[in-house]
Amino acid sequence: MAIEQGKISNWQALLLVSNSILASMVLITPALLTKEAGQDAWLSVLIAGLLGYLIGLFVVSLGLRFPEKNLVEYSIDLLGPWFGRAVCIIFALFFLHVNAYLVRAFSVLLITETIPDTPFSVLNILLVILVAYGVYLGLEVFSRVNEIIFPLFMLAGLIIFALAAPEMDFEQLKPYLTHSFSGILWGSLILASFYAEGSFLLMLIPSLRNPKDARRIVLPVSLILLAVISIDVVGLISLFGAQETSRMLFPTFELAKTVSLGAFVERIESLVVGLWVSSVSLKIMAFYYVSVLILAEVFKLKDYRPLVLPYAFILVVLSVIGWEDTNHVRFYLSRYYPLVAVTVMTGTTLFLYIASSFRRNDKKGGETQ
Amino acid sequence: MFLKVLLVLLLGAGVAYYEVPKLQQKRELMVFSCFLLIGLIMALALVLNIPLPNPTNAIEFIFGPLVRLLYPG
Amino acid sequence: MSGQFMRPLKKPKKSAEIRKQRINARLEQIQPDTELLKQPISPVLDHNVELFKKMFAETSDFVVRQFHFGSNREIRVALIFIDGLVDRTSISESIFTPFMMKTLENGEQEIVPQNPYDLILNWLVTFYSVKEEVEIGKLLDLLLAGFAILFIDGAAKALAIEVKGWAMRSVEEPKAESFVRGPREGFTETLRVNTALIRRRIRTPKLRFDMLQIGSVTKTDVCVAYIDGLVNPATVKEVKQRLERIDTDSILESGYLEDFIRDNYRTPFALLDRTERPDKVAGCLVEGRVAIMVDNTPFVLIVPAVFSGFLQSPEDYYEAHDYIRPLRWVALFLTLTLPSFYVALTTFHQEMIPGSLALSMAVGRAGVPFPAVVEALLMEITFDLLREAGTRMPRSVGQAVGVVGALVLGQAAVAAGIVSPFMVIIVALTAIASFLIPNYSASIAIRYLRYPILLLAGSFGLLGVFWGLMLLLLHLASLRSFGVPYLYPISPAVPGEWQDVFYRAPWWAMDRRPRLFRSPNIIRQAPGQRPEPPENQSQAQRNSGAQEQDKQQHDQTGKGQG
Repeated sequence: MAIEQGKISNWQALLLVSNSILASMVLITPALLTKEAGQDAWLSVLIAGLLGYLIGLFVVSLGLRFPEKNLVEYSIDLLGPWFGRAVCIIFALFFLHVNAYLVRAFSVLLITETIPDTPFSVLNILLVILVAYGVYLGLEVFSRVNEIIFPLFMLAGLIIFALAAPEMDFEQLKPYLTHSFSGILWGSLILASFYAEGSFLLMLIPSLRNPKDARRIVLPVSLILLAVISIDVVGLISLFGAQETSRMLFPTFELAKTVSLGAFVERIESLVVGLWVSSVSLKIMAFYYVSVLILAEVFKLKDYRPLVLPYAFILVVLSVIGWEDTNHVRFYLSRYYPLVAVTVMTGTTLFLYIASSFRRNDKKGGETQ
Repeated sequence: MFLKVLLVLLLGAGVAYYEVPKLQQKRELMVFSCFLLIGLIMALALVLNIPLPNPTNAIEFIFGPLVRLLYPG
Repeated sequence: MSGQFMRPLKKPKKSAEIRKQRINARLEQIQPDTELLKQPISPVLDHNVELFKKMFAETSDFVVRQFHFGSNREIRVALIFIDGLVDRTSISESIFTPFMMKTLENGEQEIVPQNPYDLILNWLVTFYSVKEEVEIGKLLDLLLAGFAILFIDGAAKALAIEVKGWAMRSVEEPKAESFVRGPREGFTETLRVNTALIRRRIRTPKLRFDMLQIGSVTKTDVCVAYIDGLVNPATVKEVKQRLERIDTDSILESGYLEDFIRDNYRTPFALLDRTERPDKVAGCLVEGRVAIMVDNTPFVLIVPAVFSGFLQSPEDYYEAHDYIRPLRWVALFLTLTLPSFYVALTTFHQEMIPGSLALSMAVGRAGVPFPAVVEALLMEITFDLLREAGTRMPRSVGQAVGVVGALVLGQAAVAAGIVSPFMVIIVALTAIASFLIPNYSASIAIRYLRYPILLLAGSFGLLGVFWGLMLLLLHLASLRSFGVPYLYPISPAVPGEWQDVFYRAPWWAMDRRPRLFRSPNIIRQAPGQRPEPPENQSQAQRNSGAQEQDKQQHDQTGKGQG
């Protein structure tokens, strides 16, 4: 019944989930966060880390109730063929929309920072070609590539932050806790929406080599994410100050610009962009894959591959028409996206979780009677 | 403009040429054609500057009240 | 229901039967009647001789020698062989001399015509390897493999005497893979010599050489070599299955086979390793891999192959220079991307070049009429032309090509202002880096992949380079060689095996076979063989001065003598 999709090890899944959350989070969220929570953004990060861990546990618990089945199959089991499918389609379309903003953010970054003369539809197409190729090759292949890229990405980030460290002034984090608590909460909601993207794991649990141990990847992933994003946010605030950071488009990238090592290594931001291209394309691949796979399952196809290329057309168009300009992207991400992501992703997970609990109780009741 | 339309159509034809021989069931062909058609129509509309409904606007409309309620400040 | 409604979209396979028949019909033109080949030979000598004469028609190297022997010259025999495939001294010493001289003596042994066959087999043919054959087809195969066939009048069996011997190259040092340290032997064109070269290195009865014949016209001997118990039986089975599927007329080199059995033909990368060094083959067999040896070529295929294997040279294992491996990885990266990075930096990201360097580069490029991409393409193509010319030419001419390349094209192009001196440096560096990749097939693939990446760099800058690299990485990750992921052990990551990938750990540290070949016997050697100086001695050296030590030694020797 389920589409054969290859198996990945839990280690690969761990890296894939981490990359899929981090790739855009490190670049996009610090500016949004500091806008809402100022220099208290680190508190938002901590709250969001906790939220993220809970979301992760939740997602995995739901998945582990049906370790052999994927999201579509048990949604249909739980909610009936029509309602179950509708929920899954919403899931898939949500990821389509996420992909669209990612592709758009990608070209925005490239145009503002490295190659200003290129029309952004060309960059969108370029990225989508790469991503579609990866998705066509399958889950196993791009998770293996991610196994190489993600550690490199982390290493590069670490080096850049280490080089920028001498310039940092941790006094900028003071005064503590001057921002309104609601602002801090909203900031953590922004971060939590990125954590919520990790729900794509729901679709991958049956392709894990050891689905039983899936719960054990939640904590490492949460810790990696928490560590990286805290270093990112604290580093940026202490380098630029909260005000300055919130005005930037991609503050992490601005940080890479300030790095220099001796007289030889300067302005390495283009290299950073290069690595980020690899990382974000892997992120989009994961979401693209999950979204196409859900659609294929919903429409009872034998393979998801026929849908990959048509989906690419839709994705390119959406990424172009979805937002009027860069400000719109930013506005959407800071105001609407947190609620949308948390509602759709976590809401769906919660809903299915409750439904499965009911079903379980029913069954238990039936058995005892 | 004409060149772009041609390019989109050629791409669509290429995709169809590549995928259709692999599809063996009627259902697969139907689903594939629907998706490709949606994609092509969207791409053509984009190329010809025909305004398309923007999903982001729809999302912003649906979630607008909630955001206004919850967003601080 | 739906199946009836829709016609199947896939065309039915185009009458494979008819095609097969056609092929067979064509084969019959070049091969004698298959029915005839299965028949036994006739007891009448003349029939057999006529049959073979007819088959070979007027071919000049087909020799028939008929003669009589026995006390009264009453036994008729005929010897047929292919001139040039047999050793003439063996024939005269082990066939003609005994037949003609011994029977003349006629001392204790009376030559009686009642049972000449046994007599010949037991007394007269003084050669160690003799086969009895009945079937015409088998005799024909043996004849063409260099056996001499002896027909005896009245016997329905023939003797095939293995007097093979032809002009062949002796074991020489391999030209394509030359080392500073390591054995100098290379494979030759004769399969039997090659198997012996391996057998001499691996003295175990578990070393198997399974023979196959491929090619309807050439009937090339192909040998699948492996060590039973170390290899994964599934791999051997897969190799044999793939080889047996091949239905072609000729196999003239192992490259023919490579095309037939590789997992994915749409890739520039070699999915099989190949070498002409017996020590490398022996090493791979011990790792649990399978070698495919083909007659008439010194190049042996090794499966499964992994990408990192192409950066390993057998010499790494003989000489303890661990830094060569990382250097090769750097070289690989440079070969692939150096020109592209140069182009991307000079056209799109000048700010990344440090100030003074940027200035001198700008001065160098001042008079150049082309954009950097075109300049780079021009130089790279020129270099590839030169390299091809240098490789295929005789050695003396090859040197001249090198001089022309360096002087005329390098210096003159710079002097004429067509290319900048920096570009020449970049291209030269790339070229040298590409020579560091030990495997020729792999270096070809990498060299040609430079061009698309160069074009991408020219149009999108560093983004293009990374885009291309990412595409390449995805492609590499999708490849498999006989079921083994091509990028193993980098991804799927097995850090425990990186000691043989990014550097070469000492032998005592590599106590396991690579896991990827799924050898049933993973332990290679006893762990913990790291050499350490004996404890007593080191303590003595630390505690006492040289004089005391001397004295102690004196005492000890004295005691020993006493």
